[in-house]
Amino acid sequence: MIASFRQVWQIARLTFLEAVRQRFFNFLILLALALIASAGYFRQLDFRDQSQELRFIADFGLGGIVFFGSILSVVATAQLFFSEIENRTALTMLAKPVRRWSFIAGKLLGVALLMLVFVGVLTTLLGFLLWHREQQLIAIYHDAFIKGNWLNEYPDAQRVRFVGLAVDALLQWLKFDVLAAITMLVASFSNTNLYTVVVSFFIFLICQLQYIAYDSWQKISFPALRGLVWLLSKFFPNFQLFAVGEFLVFPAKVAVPHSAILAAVGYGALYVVVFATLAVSSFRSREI
Amino acid sequence: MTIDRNSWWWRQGRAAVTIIATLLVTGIILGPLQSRAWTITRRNQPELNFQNLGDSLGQGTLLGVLGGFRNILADFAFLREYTYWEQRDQPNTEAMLNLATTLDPNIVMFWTDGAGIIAYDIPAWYKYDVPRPTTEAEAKAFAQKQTEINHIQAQYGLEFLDRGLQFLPNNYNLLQEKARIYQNRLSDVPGALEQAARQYLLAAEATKEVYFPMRQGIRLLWGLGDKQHQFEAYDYLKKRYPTIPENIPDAQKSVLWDTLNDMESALKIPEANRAHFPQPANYSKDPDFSPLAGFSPDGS
Repeated sequence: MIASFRQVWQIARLTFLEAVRQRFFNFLILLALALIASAGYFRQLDFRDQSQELRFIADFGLGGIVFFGSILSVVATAQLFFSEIENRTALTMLAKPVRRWSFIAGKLLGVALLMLVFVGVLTTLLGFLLWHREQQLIAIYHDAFIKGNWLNEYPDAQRVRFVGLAVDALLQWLKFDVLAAITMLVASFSNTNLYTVVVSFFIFLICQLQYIAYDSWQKISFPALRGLVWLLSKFFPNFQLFAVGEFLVFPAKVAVPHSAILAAVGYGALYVVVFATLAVSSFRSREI
Repeated sequence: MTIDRNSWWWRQGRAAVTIIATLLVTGIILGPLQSRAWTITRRNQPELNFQNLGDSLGQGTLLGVLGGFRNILADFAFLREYTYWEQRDQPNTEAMLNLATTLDPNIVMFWTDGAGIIAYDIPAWYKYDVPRPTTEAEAKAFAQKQTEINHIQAQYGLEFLDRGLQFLPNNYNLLQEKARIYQNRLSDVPGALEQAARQYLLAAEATKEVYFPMRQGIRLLWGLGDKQHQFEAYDYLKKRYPTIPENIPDAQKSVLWDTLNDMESALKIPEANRAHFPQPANYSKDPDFSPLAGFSPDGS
C-alpha cells in the first residue's frame, strides 16, 4: 500500500513538473497576473465611488482567478493525460507494476498541486494589491480613520479581510480540483484531447448554472419536466456554492457562517473523490 | 437473444449506467449538504436569471457571469445602455439597465440614473415615433397618449427603484429619486404628491446629513392643503429642528426657523403651545423669500 502511495506521489511530482514547464501554463499565469495587476487601471471604468474601490479590485482579481483557473484546470488535465497516451509513456508506465488507480490519482494530484500554485500566486498578488491600496486609502482618509469614524463617514467603505481571501482561495482551489476530476473522468473514456476539453467545458457551464435547476424544480408543475429538472439538479455539482469570495473578503454587510464554508469544503472534497473513483473505474476498462 | 458480456456495447453501457447511477446517488446523498451551504449563499447572490441576461448572452457576459468579473461587466453593460439610449432604443436600454443592476446591484448610480431614464427620458421619445399632430384633435389625442406613457413609465421607474431598495435598503438617494418621480411625473395622479412627501421624509430619516429631502418633504406635506397634513408637517419640523446644525449652510437653519414660525401663525397655534426655539445665531432673512410661499392653506 505504501508503495502504491509512493507511486502516486512520483506520478504527481512528474505531472506537476511537466505542467509547470508547459508554455500554456506559463502563458496563462502571466496573463492572469497582468490582468490582476491592471485592476487599478480598469478601476477608471468603474461607476462606483472611491469607498467601494477595494470591492472592485477584489471582484476583478477573484474574477481573473476563477476565469483563468477554470481554463487551466480543464486544459492542463486533458493535456497531461493525453500526452501520456499519445507519447505511449502510459503504456510503459502501466506495463510496470503501476496500478491504473495510481496513474489516475497521481495525475489528479499533480494537477491539484499545479492549481494550488496557480491559485496561491494569484491570490498573493491580489492580496498585495488590496493591502497596498487599502494603505493608500487609509492615508487619504487618515483623520476619519484615526478617529474611528471611517465607516460613519464612508458607509460603503470596508476593510479587506485577508483571512477571508485565503479561505476563498481554498474554496476556488477545491472547485478547480472538482473540475479537474470531471475532466479526468471525461478523458478516461474519450479518444481525443479536443473532445475532452470541449465536453469538460460544457459540463463546467452546466455545473455553474446548475443552481437554476436546483432553484426552479419545485416551481415547475408539469411532472415530467419537474422530474427531468430534479434529475439535472442531482446529476451535476453546484459550482455556485463556491462563489462567496466577495462576502468572505468584505464580511461587514454579509457574513458567511463557518458551517456554510465547511459544507462547501465537504461538498467539493466528496465530489473530487467520486469523480476520481469514476475516472479510475472507467480507465480500468480502457484499452490503451 | 444472448447478451455478449464482452461486447463493446455491453461494456460501454455498463460504464455509462455506473457513472449516471453514481452521480445521481452522490447528488441525493449530498443534497442536505448542498442545501445547507446553498441556502446561505443564495440569499446573498444577486438574482441571476436568463431573462435579465437577455440579448447580452452572446457578448461574453455569460462567461463573466459564470467566472467572475461581475462588477466590470456591469459597468460595461451600463455604458452599452448609453449607446442604446442615444439611439432611443427602449427595449435594449431597459434590458441593459436590468443587466447592469442584476450583475452589480450595489451601485447607487445605476438605480438612480436608470430610474431617471425610465421615467423621464423614455416617455420623451414618444414624439419621435408618431407624426407631428396637425389638427387640434390630433394634438389632444397626442397629449392624452403622452400623459398615459408618462404615467406608465413613471410606474416602471418606481418599480425599478423598489427593486434597488431590496439591495440597498433605506438608501436616501433611491428614496429621494422615488419622491422626485412622484412629484414630477405623477403630480396629476391623486395621492401622488402625498407619496412624494412621504418618500422625501423617508429619505430625510435615512440620512441626517442631507437636508434637502427634509425641507422638500415638509413643504410638500404642507402644500397638500388640509389641516391634518399641515399639522403633521409642523410636528415633524418641530421634532427635527433641534437636531439641525447651525454651522452647516446647506442645513438652512434660518429658513427652517422662519418656516416653523410661519407654520405656527398659519395654523394659529396658541402662544403657549408654540416651540419658541431661539433664533439661530447667524440668522438672516431674505425679505423677498417666504418659506411656505405657494404652499400656504389659502394658496397665498
